[in-house]
Amino acid sequence: MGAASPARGGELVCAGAGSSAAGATLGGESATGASPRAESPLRARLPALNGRAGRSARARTSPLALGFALALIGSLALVVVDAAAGESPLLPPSPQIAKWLSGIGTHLGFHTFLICLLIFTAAYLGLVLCSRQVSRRFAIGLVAALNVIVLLGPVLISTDVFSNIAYARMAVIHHVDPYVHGPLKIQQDPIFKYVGTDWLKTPSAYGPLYTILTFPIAPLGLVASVWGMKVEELIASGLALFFTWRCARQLRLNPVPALLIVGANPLWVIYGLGGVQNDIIMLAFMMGAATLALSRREAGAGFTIVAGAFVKATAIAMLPFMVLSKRSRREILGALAALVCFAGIGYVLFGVKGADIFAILTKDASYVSSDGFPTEFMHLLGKPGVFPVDHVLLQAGLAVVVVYLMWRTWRGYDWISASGWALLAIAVTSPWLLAWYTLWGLPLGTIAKDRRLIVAILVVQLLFIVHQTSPLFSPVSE
Amino acid sequence: MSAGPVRERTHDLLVERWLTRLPSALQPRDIDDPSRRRRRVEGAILIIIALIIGVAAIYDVTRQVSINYRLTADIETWRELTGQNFKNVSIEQDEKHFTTNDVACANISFAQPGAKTQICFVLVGPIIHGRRVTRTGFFLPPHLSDLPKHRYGCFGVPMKRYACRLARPAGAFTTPPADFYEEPAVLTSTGKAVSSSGKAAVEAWRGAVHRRALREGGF
Repeated sequence: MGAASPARGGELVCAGAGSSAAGATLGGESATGASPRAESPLRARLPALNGRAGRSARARTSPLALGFALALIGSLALVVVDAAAGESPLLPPSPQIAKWLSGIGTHLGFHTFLICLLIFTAAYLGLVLCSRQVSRRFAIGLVAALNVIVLLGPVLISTDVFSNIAYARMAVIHHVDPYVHGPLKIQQDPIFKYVGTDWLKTPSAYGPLYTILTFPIAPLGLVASVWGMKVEELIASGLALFFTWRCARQLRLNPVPALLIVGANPLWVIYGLGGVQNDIIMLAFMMGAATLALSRREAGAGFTIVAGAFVKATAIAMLPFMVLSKRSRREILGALAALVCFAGIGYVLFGVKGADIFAILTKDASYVSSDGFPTEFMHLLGKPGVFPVDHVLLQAGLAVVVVYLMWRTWRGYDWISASGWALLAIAVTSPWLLAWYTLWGLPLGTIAKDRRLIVAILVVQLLFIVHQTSPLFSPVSE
Repeated sequence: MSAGPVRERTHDLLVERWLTRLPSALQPRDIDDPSRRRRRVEGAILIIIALIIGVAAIYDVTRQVSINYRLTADIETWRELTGQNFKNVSIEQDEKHFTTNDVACANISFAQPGAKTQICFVLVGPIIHGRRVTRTGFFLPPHLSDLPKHRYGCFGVPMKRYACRLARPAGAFTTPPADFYEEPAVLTSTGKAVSSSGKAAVEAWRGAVHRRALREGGF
């Protein structure tokens, strides 16, 4: 299984071809409190995702892995440089923030973008399968390079960052409540013309903690605000990756595959970081909570999960599984403390709507996107799309999955795996699916005991990418 | 695996003491029951779901490709009928009745999208030689979207769904492309090139539009 690489005198060796990891256990909840983990057949078959700490400190990176890394950097650089030339259907209207790159590339077309995306994806899968042939330093350097390349370019694909800047400016400069009004209220503001037309009347869908995090950016100028958001995103990405690494170490797993699976993921890099999506900030909180939980700091973990939910409500999906697994009052008290703290701040700053983080879940459930798996399934059945009755059926299906996972967690199933499955189920059953929603379970998947989870997440992401490729096979009208 | 709960450790003695009162079937465990049967069932369900969404995703790509071909044919048909090679031809799909009828609209003369009087064609049927059949059409005033109350100057075969509800505004341009009244088949069955008489008709219509636009200061 996996890509092959020429090594040791022509012998084809790649992921898992090396000796199997040594040790009697596969890691426990923490370095000190080891809990035996049964090795699943899938875990045994996917050693690239499964190496143990101590076995991963390769001094040198194999030539094949180096080739995959170059393909990642090259394809991403081409997308960024072409995007900097401006005027592309893949770019939202945006202030010029990457002028110094604008003379190098040509306008980013669908074909170039999709071919680069496919190359990036293929190289990513190859690198993941060969991740045991990658040294720690190289992995960290590669992920840092990918993050920085995206940081230097313009905003890709989504107008969401401009909506978020608009909400911050509404609150700080115009004293308009972003949880009551949409950006339409600040038509005179220079950011207004960059807000997506679908969201002009939509109040903020994110938690008050996220809005507060954007406050320092609001008074900056237009271009500086976009840079501020990009830097905030980069810090969040760094934290999420650091916590993922740390969790892997705590579970005595090889942190290199975990880092590469998350940090070099095409949807993480191109759509998440490129689109400056705040899901990455939420994931930093979620992985911070996982780190704390694995360090047996349950109160801090409960607090951090709820704090993450006050960035974006989806983070709350982790909490029930952690509570059922740990069965301690401390994480409940931590969660309650965070609830009181952030709901109070939200109420003081923005009123009742600012404290209601679950309003977004209801709102999101009513939207439909063409990329949603339910929409695709309905098309397969010959229906034009998802209807309200289908929404109800999907929510019922999701409820069944969540209840089953809760029961399994109660009966000893890994709570990290259960959280990851729940987040994946939310994304797959949502008719409103965006690329960055498929990232929700990804960092957890890399440290989950149930290795089927990471495979399932990667399959879902691959299908999402395949679904983007139709312009490659279609004529493009000039 | 024994029937009773397997505890790895206890985090909270009070909670654990309370939990021991539960029936053994409901008591929590610290280690998962490694049931192969359950794992197989879960695996089978996951594979079935993966197959379903995989087939649906690939089917949807093919569906999108065919729609993209149709939309491209719509744009090309609009350009051919008007003789204008505009970039911003808007296509509205029939999202109410889910037919393949599309409405293609763009300005009659060069301007920002929607800033001038727009001419729209209703395009129906399959793609033949990269073009579609046009049955009917209408005009829209500048800056207004395609709603029955905004349509005026309907031409071609009357279609109830695309009826005009707006009276012709005073002095409004309502001349359809002359070639439109030629057999639509002329446009669709002879390939990409319009017949010489069709070309002349398009040129004549473009001349009328040009004169009109000059009067309105549109160029």
